[in-house]
Amino acid sequence: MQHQKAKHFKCNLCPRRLNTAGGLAVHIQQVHKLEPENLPRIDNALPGRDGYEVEIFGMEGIPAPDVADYKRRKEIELGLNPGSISQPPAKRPKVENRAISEDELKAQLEAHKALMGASDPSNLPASSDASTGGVYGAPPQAYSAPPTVVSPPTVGTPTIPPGAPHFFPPPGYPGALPFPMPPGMQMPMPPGFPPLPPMQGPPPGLMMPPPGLHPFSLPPGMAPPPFPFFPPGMSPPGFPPMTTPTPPVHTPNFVPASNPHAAAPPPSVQSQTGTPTSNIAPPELRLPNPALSQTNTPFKKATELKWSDANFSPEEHRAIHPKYLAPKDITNQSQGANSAQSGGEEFRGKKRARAEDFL
Amino acid sequence: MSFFNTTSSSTAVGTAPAPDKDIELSDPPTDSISSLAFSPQADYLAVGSWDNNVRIYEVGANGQTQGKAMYAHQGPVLSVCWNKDGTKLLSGGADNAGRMFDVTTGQSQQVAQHEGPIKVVKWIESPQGGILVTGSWDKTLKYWDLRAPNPITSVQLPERCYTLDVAYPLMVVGTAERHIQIFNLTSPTAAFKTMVSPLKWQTRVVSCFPSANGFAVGSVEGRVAIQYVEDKDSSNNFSFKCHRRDQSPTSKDQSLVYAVNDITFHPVHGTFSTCGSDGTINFWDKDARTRLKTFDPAPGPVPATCFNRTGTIFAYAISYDWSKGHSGMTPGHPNKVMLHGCKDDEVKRKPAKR
Repeated sequence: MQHQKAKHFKCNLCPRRLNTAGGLAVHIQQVHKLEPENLPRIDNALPGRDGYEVEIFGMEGIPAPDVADYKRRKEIELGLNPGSISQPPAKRPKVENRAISEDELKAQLEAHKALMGASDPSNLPASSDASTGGVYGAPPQAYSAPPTVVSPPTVGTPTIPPGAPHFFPPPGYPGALPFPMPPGMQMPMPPGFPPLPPMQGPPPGLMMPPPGLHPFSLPPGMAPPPFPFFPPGMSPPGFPPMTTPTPPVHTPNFVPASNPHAAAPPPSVQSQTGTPTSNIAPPELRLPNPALSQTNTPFKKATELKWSDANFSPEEHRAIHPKYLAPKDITNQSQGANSAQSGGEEFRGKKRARAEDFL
Repeated sequence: MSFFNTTSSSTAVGTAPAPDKDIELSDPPTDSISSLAFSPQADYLAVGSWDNNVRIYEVGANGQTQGKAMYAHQGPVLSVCWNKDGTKLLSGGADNAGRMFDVTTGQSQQVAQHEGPIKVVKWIESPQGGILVTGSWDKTLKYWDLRAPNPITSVQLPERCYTLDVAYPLMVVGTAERHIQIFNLTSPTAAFKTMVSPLKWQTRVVSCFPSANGFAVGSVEGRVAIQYVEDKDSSNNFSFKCHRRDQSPTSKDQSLVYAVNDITFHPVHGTFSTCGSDGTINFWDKDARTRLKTFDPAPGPVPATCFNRTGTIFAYAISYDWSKGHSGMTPGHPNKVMLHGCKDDEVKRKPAKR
């Protein structure tokens, strides 16, 4: 409370400091015997807030619109979702427990079957409780919102191979991901993932490119249904953010909690399975010694690392790009004339004459 | 000190003061520039590019530049360097080959071969003669006597070679997975010292002090470390952050962290430059531990820099360095080489503050 006293509530006639605006008003009136109306404005105050009427002591007594502004500003500084301070993200998914109608039951059953890929026809009627859904992480959400959830989990899960040990706790990893996440950044999935160099244009909402990922053949062994891979009790908080279509873009850190699903595994895929079996023609970056694969250490404060692939340099990524990649068997013999090369030969001929006399 | 007064040329411009604007090289390459090298004997600048070509430009006394020669590789060129007397230009590229261009004859020929792209080529002028060293993504270093088709020796590296620099007898190699190998070129077949980079992020560049008692390391995390080779000097080791930007004009969080693409030392004063993916260039004095100059941000990332042999001209390239992957390669991206005349207070050391 020293700031208010020292900065704002000083009497200018005597060295007295008061605690509140009202107190200052009374003091001036009684001690210096000035009329109440002619009191000088509060020092160092914002123009609309320098009267003596509104009593603010510390954080108490702030009028509502100012409080809202303050919260906005805090959020902008921290770069979070608007509303996330006033309503922090739910720690547990909000699950409704109410009697379900016949039709809803049927719909949920269908959804459940779809999720299970009809391989496990065990019905769980009326099991919308989180308790029965404890075995799988997804079904509670799936049951309560059948239409929306089907796709994102399938997107997220292929990237979680026997990855239970690799499941990073959501808050702990920002920056630990080699998965490049800077907003708007169009980076093909980290090395090891079925390569997507041919991807055209940034998929919307980088994090969850469901349309973009579908065409890719999932590595064998990860065929849908991916559910068996879910570590039991996989934290549901991962899901609500997953279902949001566009993840917050302003996060300077890799906040979206669903990241671990998408990103944690690729380096571990790399290190565990070695070179993933890829039957797509464009080459991919393979670690010569997968055991040495690196991950970036997490940052203490929110940081956006522009080049976050710890295992490969920008030049290596560029060199495998189809535009630059030449046939593998380059040796001393010159390859078939591509335009650059024949252009080069020509130039060499032309320039040779000039070069000869330039020294 | 005037700008282009280094070569005594017949064009009688003479002592022009250093121009305030940097001069753009005429006829730059058509694709991103990977490396720059000034000849040690004259103001000829070699430019290696991802368009598979190496070009040589003459930089004249009054700032005019002219392309003089060009030769091609079969893949993108990743590194260029000159030999000591400036008669030969060496280059290495993603076609796994190292080539030598003889400026007197205008001919180029292949002189080196690796199993993977050659990322760096450097010339070593040893008492026994000149040797080319090439570092490649096939995890080897090879030394070449240019007259023979086979390497003199090959040295195995722990990982892919990303960067290399020589200041005889010191040679420092930076590889993937943050290994750094220090070689004493009097016994070049094995590393004198192997260490892990003091920076916790991927190594991008290493550069030796001209005094050969230490080196600078730059990483992808906007940081440079100054390291001395001798353990007794290790108390002088330090690192500093650079090439970072704030997320927004209001927050001073310096949270956008760019890679340091190149570090080059001034041949005379021992001060050095750094350049980054953020498009900025800085000059620093490592002994006074201060920054000497900041350039205005360039319209694109700066992948390579080079001082000329007298330190009066500083060349820097502006071209896309793939820091955003393929999608950053927009058609209108600037692709050029700029020449900056160095003023004294930009490159001279400052008295150390004690």
